[in-house]
Amino acid sequence: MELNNSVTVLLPGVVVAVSAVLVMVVDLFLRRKDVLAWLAAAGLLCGAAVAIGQWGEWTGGAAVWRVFTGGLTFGGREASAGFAGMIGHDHFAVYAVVLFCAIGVLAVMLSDEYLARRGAARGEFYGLLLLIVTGMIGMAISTDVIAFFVSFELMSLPTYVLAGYIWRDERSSEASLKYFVTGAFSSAILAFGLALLYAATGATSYAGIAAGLARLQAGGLAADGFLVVAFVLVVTGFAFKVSAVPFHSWAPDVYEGAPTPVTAFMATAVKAAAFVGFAKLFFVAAGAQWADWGHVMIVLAILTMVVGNVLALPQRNLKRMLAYSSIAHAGYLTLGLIAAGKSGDTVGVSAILFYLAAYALMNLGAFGVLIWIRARRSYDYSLDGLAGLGRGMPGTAILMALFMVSLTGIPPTVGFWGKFYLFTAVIQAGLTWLAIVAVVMSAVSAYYYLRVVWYMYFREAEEGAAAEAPAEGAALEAGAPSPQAGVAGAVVIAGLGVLIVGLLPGPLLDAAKGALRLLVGG
Amino acid sequence: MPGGDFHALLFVIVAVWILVCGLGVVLFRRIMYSAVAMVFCFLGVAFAYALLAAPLVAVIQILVYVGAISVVIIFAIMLTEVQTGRLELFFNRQTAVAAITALVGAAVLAVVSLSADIGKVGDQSLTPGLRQLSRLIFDRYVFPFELVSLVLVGAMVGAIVLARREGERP
Repeated sequence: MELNNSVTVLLPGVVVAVSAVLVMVVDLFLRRKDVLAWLAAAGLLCGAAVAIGQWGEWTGGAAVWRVFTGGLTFGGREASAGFAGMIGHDHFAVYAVVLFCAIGVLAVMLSDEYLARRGAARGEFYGLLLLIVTGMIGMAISTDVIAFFVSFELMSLPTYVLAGYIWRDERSSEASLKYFVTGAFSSAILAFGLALLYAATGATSYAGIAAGLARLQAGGLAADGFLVVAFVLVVTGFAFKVSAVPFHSWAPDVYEGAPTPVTAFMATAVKAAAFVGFAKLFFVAAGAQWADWGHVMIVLAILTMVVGNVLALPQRNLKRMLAYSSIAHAGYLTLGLIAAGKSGDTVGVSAILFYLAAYALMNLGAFGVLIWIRARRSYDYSLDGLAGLGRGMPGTAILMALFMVSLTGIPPTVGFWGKFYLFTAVIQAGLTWLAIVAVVMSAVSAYYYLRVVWYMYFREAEEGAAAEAPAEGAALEAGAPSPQAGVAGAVVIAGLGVLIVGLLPGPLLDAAKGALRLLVGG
Repeated sequence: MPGGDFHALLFVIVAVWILVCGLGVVLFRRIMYSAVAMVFCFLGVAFAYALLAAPLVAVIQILVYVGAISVVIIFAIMLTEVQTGRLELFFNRQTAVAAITALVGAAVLAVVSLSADIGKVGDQSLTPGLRQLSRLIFDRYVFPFELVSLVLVGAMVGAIVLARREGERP
């Protein structure tokens, strides 16, 4: 049954989309707004559970992606396809869906306290957040550029709104406008690139594009320049979304101005979705044409790593510093695409999947600590404001130190393993010099990450600056369980994740490799 | 094909029309003039669709873009009009850089498109009538079509969230 099959493939996305609408409708009838966070989290968990249930559904037989000379290329039919080839579900997509839902749950936990404190409406916030996750799921399961582009927009549009959610805050509005203008522009560039790919191949499905490109190559037709332009436009759309240099200039302002939980969500989930969606597009549709887009990627990766890390050095606002750090991490992640494209091996892609989970844990944790401090006392996200934290809030300081160490990539944290697998994949692909650049840049990053630790433990707080003043908690409903518990829970989960996966990276790595198992096998 | 030259001539006229109107949208200093130029631009695109043997798409273009979207844009301009200030585009100092970038980009695109030998795209025999179009939308493209409805939900909720000002509830 074609239809039955299609619906099964879609199920996690449907669950999340229905929860989005449900949260917004329930919001109208309920006075206790703290229920909404539970509802949103439950929807996301259900989506993840459904996806995990699908993991075991396909065994052997149908290969989705197959290693091809010079790149990963589409071979055979999808493990589970639906809607006339518009979408295809596989282990890769399942891994991504579970990752998006998990990040979504942590983001909801981080948001509730913030929204309550700022007196902002919560129903619409969670509704939009769930719609974004739905779009991300769509990007992961799409096997057709039309479905991909619509999913991409479903992810992007509500993100612009969330960035400007606290409209009374001028900087939040500015962030939203900036993100919207540059984002809409990059969407148009992406659409143009996809249209050129369609013009060159006459197909919109990834498989059709791959076949068309192979035909062009076999026919020896003079379309190289045309294809390069098409790929450059698509890569540009991708680079904007992951804030790769030179398309990064929006990121620091947007990350600084947006509400902190939204920043945490954007830096982790939106980046993860862009990498997952574009990895599938690049490798399934154009794996064999690595030469046409790979060199652009190498330039992009080097620029992104160098500029992101160097510009992070002088930042004294932590949200801005983490924005530049997020740019740098986009550079490391791009290395995975390069490694996979160059070697025609899936190791690079599974290294990306592992790194995305690792990065989500440590980055959500770091932003969560900032939200936690802000919830307890007045704090302007500055480096100086952290002085004396080691004495004032020892538990928080230890967790923050853990996240900073992990972001630097020092064992025994998950950040180390993420970088280890990525750089190993790059070396295996025969690009040792690129791995050396990445390692040197990681060393540079140690300065600004560990400076945070230094400020927390070796700087005395200024007189009265860190006095424990309760936050303006007037908006908190009486009798409701403190939403601060959500923030604390999210930070502790992230901290445990960083540490446990750091000590035992095996299971997550197996999952990341398993996500591409079918894709490699016959 | 005897009608070929006439068809090509018509296409050139429509293309120039679209380009001139498009430039008008960008270059007019008064935003209302830009909006009107955009209406004419939409009309030109509708003619282009008609020339490409897609009358239905042309009619929809006129109904939706010329009819509905233009009106909404003009309403939006009138509603957001600030009484004290004048509704003018302010040009910044990067105009020259932007113009050069755009021209170089256009030149590169033109050169590679004209030199590329990629053959004809798509099903040339297809006559996009109502029946075929609905078949495509509700059969092959039903997934993106339904996804668009979610995009619209997100856009509507987002617009309300951003526009809501007075009497905001907690």
